[in-house]
Amino acid sequence: MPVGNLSKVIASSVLVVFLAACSSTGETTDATSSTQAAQAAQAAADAAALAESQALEEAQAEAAQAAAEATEQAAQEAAQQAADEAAAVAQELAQQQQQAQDAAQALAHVIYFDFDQSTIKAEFRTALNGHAAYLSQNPTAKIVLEGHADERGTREYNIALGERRGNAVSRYLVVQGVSVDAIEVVSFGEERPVNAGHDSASWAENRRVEIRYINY
Amino acid sequence: MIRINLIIRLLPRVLVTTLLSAVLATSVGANNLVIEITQGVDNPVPIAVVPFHWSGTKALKEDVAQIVDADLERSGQFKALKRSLMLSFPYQEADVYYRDWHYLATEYLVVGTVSASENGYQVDYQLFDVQRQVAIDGGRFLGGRNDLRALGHSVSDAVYEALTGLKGAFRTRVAYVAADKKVNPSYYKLLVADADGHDAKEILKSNQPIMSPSWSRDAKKLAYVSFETNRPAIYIQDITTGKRERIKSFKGINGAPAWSPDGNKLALVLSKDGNAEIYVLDLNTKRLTRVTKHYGIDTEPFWSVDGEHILFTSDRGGKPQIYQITLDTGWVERLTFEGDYNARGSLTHDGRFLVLVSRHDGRFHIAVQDLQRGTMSLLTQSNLDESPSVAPNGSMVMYSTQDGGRDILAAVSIDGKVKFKLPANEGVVREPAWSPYLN
Repeated sequence: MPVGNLSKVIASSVLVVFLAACSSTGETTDATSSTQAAQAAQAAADAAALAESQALEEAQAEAAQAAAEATEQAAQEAAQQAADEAAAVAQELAQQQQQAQDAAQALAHVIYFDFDQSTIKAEFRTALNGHAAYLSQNPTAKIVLEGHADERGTREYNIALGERRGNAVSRYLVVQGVSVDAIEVVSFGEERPVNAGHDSASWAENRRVEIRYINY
Repeated sequence: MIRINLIIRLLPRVLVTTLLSAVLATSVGANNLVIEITQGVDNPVPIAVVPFHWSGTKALKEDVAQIVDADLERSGQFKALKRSLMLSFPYQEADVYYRDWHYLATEYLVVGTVSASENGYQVDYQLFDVQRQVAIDGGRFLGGRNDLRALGHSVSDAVYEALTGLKGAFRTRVAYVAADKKVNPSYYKLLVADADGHDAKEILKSNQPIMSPSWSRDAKKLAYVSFETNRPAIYIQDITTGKRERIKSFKGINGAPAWSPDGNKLALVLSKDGNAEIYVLDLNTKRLTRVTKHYGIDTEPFWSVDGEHILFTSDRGGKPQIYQITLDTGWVERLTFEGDYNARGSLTHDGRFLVLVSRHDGRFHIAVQDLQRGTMSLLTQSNLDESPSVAPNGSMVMYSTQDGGRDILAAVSIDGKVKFKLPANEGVVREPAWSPYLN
């Protein structure tokens, strides 16, 4: 209902009230009763106007709230969907990464050498190729190649020998496409044996390069 | 005068079992002495060290005469008389009855006293020639309350010098590395003890390897390699204050520190330029100079006495051998030719003898090469002998070897005739570094 029409209706109803007030006072109509009737009519008109304004505001607020609620729900639904999708993708990626990491971890991490030699034996190429593949595909991955020697010979010479072995493994990986920045060589010489024995079997275990991932 | 006569008289007996280097060093003005050396082999000189008289009331913590006794015996050149066989315990010349000592077949006699001094102790000693019945040496040493052992070693040094003509090296120290017997987990310790193995003190403890201790010329500092950061780095540590400094380290090897004779430089091994090379670091200016340039391994630098050359191990010829580079010119000369593994060379104080690790029939021994004659001889017959370190007077070589499946320290005289062991109470010990004289 248009506001203009509503005003007319209220004005006419005020007139009706005024006439009714006049008639209610009986046959005798005097000035005082006429004034009271007019005041009552004014109060009624004011109350009606206030009620109209409040009703309008409430209606508007209600509409806005409804609209807002609708928007929010839609947004929530959309966000939930997006999150679900992202999580699924991430989970899949993490699974793939974990599988790759597991595969890299499953590879041999120790490469053994012959006495006074730093040549990489054929039996260790598969493992090294696996590490190389992982390192090339994961640019943030980093390794330390720890070179070791057996106890025979002098200690500082064995440090140099351990480094030579570490460098041999490093070169092999670089040729397979690994960045030199992903590799660090540290030689421990004969200082950190895995077997404390003094026989050829112990020595063979100690002549080694250990591949240690510092970041996968 | 007395001392000179004595040396001449003693040479046939004493110097036979002593270092040839000393003989040659002292023979410059007296060639006749060299010839006499070859006589009377393997007869240690009988000597009696009488318990020193102590004028105090409370018992002393150390038996000074016992310290002297043990020092002289360990040199292998003397045979000390047992106390239980002594007929008297004189501590001054008036109480010495030469006939008694002569009867016990003792050739020399040491007596002495210990008395309290203002801040510690005073030790007076006298040395007598029993046969000639004269005092031939004597002196006084002063020390603090904790210096009784050091005072004993000073007496040993004086007696040794009086009888052999060679400065004693008993009052010196040895730095070495100790480790757990277990492989992992393990501990590594750097220790410093008196040369007789007493009073070992911990300098550093780590759960990562410690290597290659090297003494400064004043015997106050040690340079060593520590892997405590999981990478090798060279440290210089004051052994009295414990204060230490880490030398700038580089990617790769940081190893084999060796102090120059003037104490201002450190030779070391770095692989920052590709592979193990020798460098010299000026400790004052911090300037680093590359010494070797070769794709082979160059390591284990050792300075010549004049500081003009550096000996090193290199496999540039295919197998590890010892080379010498002249620092001025860069001229490199190969020193070892016998055998296919010669490494870790060091020189006696007179520069005459090259002490090294040499492999023969697959076994690693300590060997000595006479640089004048070019002949090499093995000093040890055990296996896995390594890290030879020569006493400052050139008389003995300390090294590490295997004994009952574990690493121990041992020493051998430069002529190979005298040997002794210094096993540790627990764990394994290795890499002995004999200190310079402590003065």
